[in-house]
Amino acid sequence: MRSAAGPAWNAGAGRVREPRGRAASQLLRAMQSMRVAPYVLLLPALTLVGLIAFYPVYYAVDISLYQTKFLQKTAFVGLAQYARLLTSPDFLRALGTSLLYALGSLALTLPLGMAFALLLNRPIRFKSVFRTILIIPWTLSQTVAGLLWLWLLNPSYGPIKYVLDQLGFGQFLFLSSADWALPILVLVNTWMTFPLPMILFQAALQTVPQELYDAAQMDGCTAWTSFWGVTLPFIQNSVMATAIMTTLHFFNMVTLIYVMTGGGPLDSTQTLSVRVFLDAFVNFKVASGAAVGMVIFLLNIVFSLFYIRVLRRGDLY
Amino acid sequence: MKLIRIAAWALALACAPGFAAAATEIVFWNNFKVDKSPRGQAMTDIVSKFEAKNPDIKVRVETVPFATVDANLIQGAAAGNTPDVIKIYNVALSLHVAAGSIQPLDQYLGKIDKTDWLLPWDSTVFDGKKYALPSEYRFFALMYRKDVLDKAGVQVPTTWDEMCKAAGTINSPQVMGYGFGLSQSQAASILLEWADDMALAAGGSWLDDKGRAIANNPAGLKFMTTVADLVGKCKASSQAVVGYTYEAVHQGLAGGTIAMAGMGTHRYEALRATAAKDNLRWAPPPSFEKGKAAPVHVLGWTFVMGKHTKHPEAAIKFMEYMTSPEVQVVIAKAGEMPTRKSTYNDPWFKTPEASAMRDWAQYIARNGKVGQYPSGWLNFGQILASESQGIVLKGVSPAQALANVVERYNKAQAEGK
Amino acid sequence: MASRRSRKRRHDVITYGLLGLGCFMALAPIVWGLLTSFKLEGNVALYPPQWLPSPVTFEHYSDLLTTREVLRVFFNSLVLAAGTIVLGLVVASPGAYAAARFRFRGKNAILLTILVTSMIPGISILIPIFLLAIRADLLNSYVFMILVYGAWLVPQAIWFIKGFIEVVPRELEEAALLDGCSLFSAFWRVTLPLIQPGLAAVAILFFVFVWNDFLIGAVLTNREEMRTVQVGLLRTIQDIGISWGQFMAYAMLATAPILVAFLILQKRFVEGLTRGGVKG
Repeated sequence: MRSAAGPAWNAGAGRVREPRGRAASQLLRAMQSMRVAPYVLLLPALTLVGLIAFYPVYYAVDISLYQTKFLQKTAFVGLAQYARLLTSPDFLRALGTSLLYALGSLALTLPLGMAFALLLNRPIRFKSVFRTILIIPWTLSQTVAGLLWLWLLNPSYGPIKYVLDQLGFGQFLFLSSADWALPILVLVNTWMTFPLPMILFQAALQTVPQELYDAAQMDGCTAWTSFWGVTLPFIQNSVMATAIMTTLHFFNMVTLIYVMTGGGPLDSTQTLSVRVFLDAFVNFKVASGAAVGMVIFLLNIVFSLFYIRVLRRGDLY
Repeated sequence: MKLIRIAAWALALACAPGFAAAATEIVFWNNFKVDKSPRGQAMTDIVSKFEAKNPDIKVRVETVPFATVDANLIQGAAAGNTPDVIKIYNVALSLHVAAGSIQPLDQYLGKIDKTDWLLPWDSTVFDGKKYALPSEYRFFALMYRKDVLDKAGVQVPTTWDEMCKAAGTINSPQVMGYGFGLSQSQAASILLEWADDMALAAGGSWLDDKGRAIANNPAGLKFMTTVADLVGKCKASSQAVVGYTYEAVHQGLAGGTIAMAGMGTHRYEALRATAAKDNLRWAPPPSFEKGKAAPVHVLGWTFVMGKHTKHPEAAIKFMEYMTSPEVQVVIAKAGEMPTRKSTYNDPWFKTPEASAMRDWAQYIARNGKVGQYPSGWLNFGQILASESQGIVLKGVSPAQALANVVERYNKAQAEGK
Repeated sequence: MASRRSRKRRHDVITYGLLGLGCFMALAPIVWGLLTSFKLEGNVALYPPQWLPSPVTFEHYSDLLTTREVLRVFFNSLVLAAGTIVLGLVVASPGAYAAARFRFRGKNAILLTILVTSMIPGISILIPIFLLAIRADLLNSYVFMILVYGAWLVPQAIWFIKGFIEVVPRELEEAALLDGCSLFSAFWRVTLPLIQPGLAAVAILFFVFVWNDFLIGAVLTNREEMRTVQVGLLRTIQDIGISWGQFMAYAMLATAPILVAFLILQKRFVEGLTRGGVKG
């Protein structure tokens, strides 16, 4: 129901009530003009973001073209940093780890969120109690959640070890194992994150009109097929938006991983973003950190473009 | 509104009588919280005595977490802004010298007794310039649970061979015989301290004096082999060590799930304050030769002066005061091992509560050396952790793991920071 | 009829069961943390674990609540969160309005640029932001931190609020204008009340982000009295050991405000998102 030619208040300046003050009225009249208004409205946002975000991008690109020693530039090396990076096995492994972590977490978080959203959408009692409790993991910070799980997963005296002992299992290494550390991180991450998609999906599910379900039922669909055939397509934009938001969040996560494993054991949990943190704050390899950061930036854009492509609309925004 | 109000208060306070323009304020970054603990109380006490003695100097003590103080200082220095006095761990000194975040003290020191120190003066001299005044000392000793050892009928081992047998006897799924940590977290601190001393005890070192890792290093090989044996043929430790940090080992000793472990002496009092109580004892670290005491590297926090301090004279006064023999007695009673020789003449050191500290001081006076740690030392720890984990988890041979460490570290150093 | 009812009951049992299981998985770790916060420090690392604290002690909480620095960090985070919410809403709402209601040249470009900045990995902006702050003497400044948090959150906020606005029919605003309202008036009186739940939802998201943030707070402050809640958490990690009892107590105190906010505002939050935050 959008008017193609823009808002109707464009016409008829004489209809406007006279505001106080000559200058104010002139400004307001100028603002009434369709041309200027949107730019003025967007100006604060652009200024804020420009001031705070553009300088770091410029700085990061700039410094990634140099060699550095303790935050000071020493020599200009152009794209050599990137070339070295993209061919180093460390980097490629970190990239793989990032993808595994992000996509693995996504594969668990979204279905889990959807499942609980569907459950919460059913006609049951105590809905808000359930929902409140289920949100709680999301309210913890990454530092708190990371250290809490570190404590729970302690292989010598943690409660989880105790439970497994009672069940008759042997010694588990949990985060000490290079094979299990990443899956465990994915699970902890899922535990912390699923409430948000759950809420967003629940909101989206409520927009699905009942008539569609009724029609599907008359056509003989079961709950399962009507979910895939009716529900999901209807809310697919929400799902996509949530997916992209969550993927970016996972891809750029640092604190949880660093707190729990520091990137180990054997670098098995060193994602690209953790690597940027280590490079910049622990090893003082600022140029390398900046370069990897740029790569992450580009990958973020690629993910988002992928989303735009899949969801082609007239104007994206 | 809030800011305006804050600004107004600040202005009022600044103009209040008693805040004469002559009062210099120096900022001091301390490594522990100034709370009601013995250390905290001692610090409050000492600082207020300093301010009483020097009414024109005010000291603002800030607690900066030890995990971030190095990064904070270096980043601040890069932008021309550092505090006046900082406590830096001695291992990080060469990092800061290289980064240019601290400045030499020689020109400010005046007449200070260079001989009245437990360890030589030039242990904190770099490139011929004195950079730090040591505040306290600690070393990596053996801590053990007497109750666990007694129950297993085992004596405290004095060599690594004895440790292999003793810890192997004790080790079970419930209690680890000898606990150590190979985790990269917490800067791999527990691994670095141990490996550092092990190389020394084996008669060598990890890095040569140019800061490069020594290839085919017999001392390094001894260490890697010990790691392999402890988990392998001695069955003294489980694979869980791969994920252990300083904290985990500390908790293990406190809870009795670890029978013996290498730990810094600074943790002794804290451990004895846990459920372990009097069951927690210390012993000299095992050596590689029966009857011979193992040499140890002495570590500790030191006072340094920030590169961009605006009040170097006030700063040096404070640093000299904090490391004076009289003040060091106060910190000794609060649990930190003093660095001045004459402090140990104080009568307090004849009391039973000072016995552990007295014995430590004697031990390091005889067997203590100060190591020099190049700026890549932390990175070395990460690589060492990674490769040692390989020995435990993947059965990589000690020799191969050592070769990997040397190659990776030297390559990373060559690529420069 | 009977079979349908019993089938519904079976479905209900499964639903309740699954939800209950979910709640258990969500709560159990936190309950463990909570119980630990009431244990004496010596009992924290016992094995087999001591499930219920005995004796129960409030010492960790009383230690924290009587420490000036701890109260201070909570105050700081509160100021930062409130400031960010105000700044974020004030800056994002007009932008979202422009994006939702207008067609103009360069629209896609501008909006895409704003969106792209939220793609910059947080970790990458930290060192340059820090150096910028230190050179301009802006460290330890509420204002600067609020600007950084705001800049980080505004792009997503615009996206959300735009969605909320688009659900409100244009005709309502047009009617108001025909009645003689100015543009601003129409927005203020017609649109704003209708998107209020959505704004509340965005405000909560801002609050959670700022309150739970560690990295930005750690980098932009180096004075103890300006530290945020998460950075202050590090105070329980000392060089002589982590005090787990105190850590858990601190963690519970740190999480409590968000939980309380959620308990009170939960309805609004969900309502806000339902009304079109993430619509088709």
